Amino acid sequence: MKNKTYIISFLLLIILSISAFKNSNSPIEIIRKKDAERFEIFKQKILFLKTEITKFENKTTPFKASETAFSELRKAYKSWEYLAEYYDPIFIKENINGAPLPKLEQNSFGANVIEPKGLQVLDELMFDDSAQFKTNDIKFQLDLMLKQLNQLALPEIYDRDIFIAARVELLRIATLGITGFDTPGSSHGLQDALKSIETMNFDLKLFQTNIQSKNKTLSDSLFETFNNCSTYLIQNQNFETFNRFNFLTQYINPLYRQLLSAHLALELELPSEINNKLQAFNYLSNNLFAPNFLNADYYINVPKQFINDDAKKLGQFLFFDPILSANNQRSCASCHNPEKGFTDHLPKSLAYNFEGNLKRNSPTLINCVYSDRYFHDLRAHDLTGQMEHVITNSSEFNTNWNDILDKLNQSSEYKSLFSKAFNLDTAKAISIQNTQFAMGVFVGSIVGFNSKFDQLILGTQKTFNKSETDIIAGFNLFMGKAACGTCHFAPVFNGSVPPFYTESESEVLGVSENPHQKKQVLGADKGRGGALLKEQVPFYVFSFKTPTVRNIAITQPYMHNGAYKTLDEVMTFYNNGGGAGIGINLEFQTLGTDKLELSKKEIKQIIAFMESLTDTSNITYKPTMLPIINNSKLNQRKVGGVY
Amino acid sequence: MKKKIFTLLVGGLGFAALSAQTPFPMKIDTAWSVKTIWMPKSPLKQQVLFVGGVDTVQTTATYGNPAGKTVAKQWHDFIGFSKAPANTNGILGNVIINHEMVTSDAKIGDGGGMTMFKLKRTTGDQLEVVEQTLTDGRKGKFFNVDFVNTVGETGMNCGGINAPTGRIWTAEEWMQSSNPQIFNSGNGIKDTSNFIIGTTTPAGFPGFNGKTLKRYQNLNWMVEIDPTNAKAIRKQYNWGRAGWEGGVVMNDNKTVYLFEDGSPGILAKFVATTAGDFTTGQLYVYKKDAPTKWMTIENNLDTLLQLNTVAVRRGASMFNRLEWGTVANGKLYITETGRDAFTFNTGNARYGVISQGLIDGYKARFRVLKGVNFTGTDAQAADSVRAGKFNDYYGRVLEFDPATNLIRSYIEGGPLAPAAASQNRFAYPPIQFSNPDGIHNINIDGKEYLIIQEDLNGTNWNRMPANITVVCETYLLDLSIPNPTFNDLIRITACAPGAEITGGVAIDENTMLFNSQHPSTNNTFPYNNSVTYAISGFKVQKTDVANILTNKDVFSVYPNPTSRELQFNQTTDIAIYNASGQRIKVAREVNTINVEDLTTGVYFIRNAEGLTQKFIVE
Repeated sequence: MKNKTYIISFLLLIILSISAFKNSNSPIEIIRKKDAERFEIFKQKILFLKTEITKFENKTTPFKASETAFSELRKAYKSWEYLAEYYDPIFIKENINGAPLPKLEQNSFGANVIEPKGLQVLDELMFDDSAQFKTNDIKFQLDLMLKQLNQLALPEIYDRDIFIAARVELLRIATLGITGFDTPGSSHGLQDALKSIETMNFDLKLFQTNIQSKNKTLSDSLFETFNNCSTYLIQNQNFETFNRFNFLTQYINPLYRQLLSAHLALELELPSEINNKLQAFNYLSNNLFAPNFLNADYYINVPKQFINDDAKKLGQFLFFDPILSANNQRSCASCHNPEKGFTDHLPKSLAYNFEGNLKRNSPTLINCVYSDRYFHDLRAHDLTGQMEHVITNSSEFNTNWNDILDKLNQSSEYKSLFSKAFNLDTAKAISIQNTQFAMGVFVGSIVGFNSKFDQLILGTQKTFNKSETDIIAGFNLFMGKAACGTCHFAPVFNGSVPPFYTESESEVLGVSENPHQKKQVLGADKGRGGALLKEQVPFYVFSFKTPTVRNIAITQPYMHNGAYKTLDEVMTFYNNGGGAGIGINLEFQTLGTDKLELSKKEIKQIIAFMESLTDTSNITYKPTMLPIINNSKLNQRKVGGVY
Repeated sequence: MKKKIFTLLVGGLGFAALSAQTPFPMKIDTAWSVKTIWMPKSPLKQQVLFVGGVDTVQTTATYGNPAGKTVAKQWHDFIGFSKAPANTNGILGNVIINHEMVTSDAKIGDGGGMTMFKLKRTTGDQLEVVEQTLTDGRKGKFFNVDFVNTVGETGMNCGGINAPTGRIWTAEEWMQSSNPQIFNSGNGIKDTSNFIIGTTTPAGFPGFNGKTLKRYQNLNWMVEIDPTNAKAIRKQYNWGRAGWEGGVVMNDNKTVYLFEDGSPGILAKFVATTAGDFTTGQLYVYKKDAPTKWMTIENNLDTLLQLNTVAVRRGASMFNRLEWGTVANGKLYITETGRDAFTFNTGNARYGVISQGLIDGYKARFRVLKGVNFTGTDAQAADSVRAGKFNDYYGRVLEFDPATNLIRSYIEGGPLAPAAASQNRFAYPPIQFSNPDGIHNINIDGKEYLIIQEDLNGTNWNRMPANITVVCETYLLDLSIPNPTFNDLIRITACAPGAEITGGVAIDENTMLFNSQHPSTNNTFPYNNSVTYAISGFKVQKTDVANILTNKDVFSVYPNPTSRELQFNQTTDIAIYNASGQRIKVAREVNTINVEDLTTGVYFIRNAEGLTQKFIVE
């Protein structure tokens, strides 16, 4: 008996040594195989749906069978998704699961349009009332996907990739999954979420022994959260009533945090050790709503060594200094007044020398940094480029860099401020570049993530008063039934697309030029379709940047033309299906044209949620005086200008 | 007791079996006595010459504004170099930079543009932009090329031609299709009145004078530039209007090849009647299945205005975005950059023929994806390309032999190789070569090398490993290799200060000029602007590269100073630690690691076997 035990253990030792040597039982080897299998199954399910559709066409099966096959196809995709999206997000976006809208080909020789394709187009086709008559379109989409998938080579993946990919998938579930973003027709986002969670749970369980050996408590709580998350999703599959607030606070955010702890406990390499470039989202942050979730430094396009308090202080002076304009009367603060939430509360800002108005409404600068494009028409690629337009525009600052530098150089105070910020000799410190850097650093510092809502979602509070309950109900609607969250993405609630937050979106809404008139008319402003030469295509005409909803309570009026005075008016517009609901019919309206069917109470709750997103703490400071200029006339200038 | 031992044994083994991947602790003890490797300074020297958006250009009287000065445009692309006739006082020649962006500018002129400056070598490799006075009286270092008063505005000036005689042409790939488009709400070309050929000085064109063009139709022609006086000479109406990106003039000073960045894009040839006079001659477009391989194009403005449409309709060979070209050893090397999604099965493209490069590309990709050679004929491969079974996402360098008029793929972009560890997946090769764009050649010690610059179309399709942002690289390739693969490419990372580079042109055997265009990262000044800079020291580069990878120790590290990377004699997992033992970098299954971002100091490097060596970056 004794000997037998030893023999068995000895045999086991041999077997295990061999397998250890071959690595075939290691978690990553199992996942590599699984991933390849999931990829194959996904392709098979596409073929299967095609077969079912053909059977339906031949009248041998009801359409229901195709719907079931589509549901299986989605499940197969959701099993493969978290890794596929990780190793080739652009492939997936362009071919498999991108928004069902036309796009422009990247880095091309002209404005080449890529027609929408993939699962989201299918989702709309399959759940259209006339789906049964669109079988050719459905088969066409299936063929397109197969053609692309057959050319895809799966790259190698490592332990770290599993953890990074899983955390990114959690962000995807929170922002694109449960909001219904990627299921525009079926609203099956919750089923999808369950499949993703189960898949990741399965894969990560393979690391359970490893995590346990480092930190048993962590391992136990991680897998307990995973199991509870699955249970919650199984029990709550109603898209309209699903409590997103609960789901995020009890499962997604804890999992996001626990997975980071597990990643660190296993001493796996971090994204920053694989790639020396800064990423937009901060991997070391442990909550989607944490103030450090996004890296502002990624966006401002200023060298790291210049992002400091001296540059910020200098930028702040420049922001309020009217010498940046030709008449020395107008500053950035003229249209972006900190006391008005960094807006001017006008429908359209005043033009230079009070001669009329500008074309559009002045957007808030709070959290504006989290964007890869600027202006309502997305024509500037970074904050420094944005500034250039304002300086040279004859209706804004009406000046040029040479004149600005001449004036700045008349100030020894400015010279020393520049010198300090950029560690350069006072004679050389003032330059176009450094002026832009300083302003960029200042504008990039105008951020706030400590609103009432942030406190609720980050807090440990279990019971809520009436107004808090409304805020939470409003958030759930915003992220669900009202579909606001499918364009105003969490956590900035702007158009920066999760989960990587490196691309700003614009939308065609069909905004009225004057909603208070009886007959609703579209304005002449072409937006994005009339801006960059490379983007002048029909589907960008009347398309405008998706602004942040944060601080919306203090940044009225609304929309790119400032035509909507209250949030009620805005909500009415959306509730009716945008332009389509008021007789402005645009071929390329990207906003869903169906009515949202929100009740008055629901609209109130959504507004309560939006009004809970105000945070202007520590950013409303205005200097009491500006740097002295050795020129008596210029020294008369007012902080913030005269208008 | 025994039971416990058993469990421990199994548990322990279980753990060993599970941690298959090399673990690298986040912190190591640095107090070990270890072998030291020195990473010497790069022998390549970098010098900034011209900064867009910062340097001042001298302008001519334009749109009623007097001659003066203003800030130079950005978006540098092609570099034209016109060598000084004799080496006097170290004057090297005139450099001309393309600006690939349509903007309105009351002083420089609307549309795209070019900037000219004169370059001088002072001591050693040190270069200097010299002050000069032009014949029109403009005085300074940088001069904008006057298009408005000479030949009419241009659009996005991208590529061009550096002729052996020092003559320079500029190209604009982005096809303009309407006046409102080029007007761009007043941000583009403001004057959209009709353009009458021959009404500007000194331009005009025999045979086309007096003809009226819509303003947008006066764009997208090749334009000859006077590199001495910073003025445009003429739009080359007889070469046709197309999405031209590049071209070459042959040594006979008669034959010109033109490359179109389109999909389908065409390859054209112009043969001048008299050497050096490109105003009269014959235009041809490449058609592989034609008896002479070329079809003649009539010198008729209506045809020339829509050259691509006419040529493809007549069955021209269709390429997938031709970019730049260069002549070396009597052959043309042309980059075909590739495109993620293209179809030659609809519209006009149904009439054209699939070019050999795409057939070769299809076969190469077939081998990678299926693990076996494609056994069909070229015609069958062409059918597969037409049927959309080939995504040409990597591109290639084509070789065209003027003697035989035949084209082949000289080096294919990519490909991925099947991974050793698990055959169902693919590993990244140490060199990931995709979307070649700029190309030139350099002669070092009597040997010809291609200089190939990438301009990635994206990070998808495995062009970059997961989680890595876009990095466009520059490679040297020894032209004596008849059938090179990506293993023969020599990377010159020292050229890339974190931005995309383009325009690379060798001005002699030791110095190259490069442009860093539209940098999107937060680089340090001046690399956050469009910048033209020189890199010198190429003679040293070659010898260093040849000396590596000869030792066969268990784990040997070879620093390659010119490309700022460490190379190993085996494929392994690698971690780099800083002086205090903190892990800062990890790479898996590699035989090189890029260390260009490491500042000078002491580091430690550890491999999969746990061997640690110290290395010092000088």
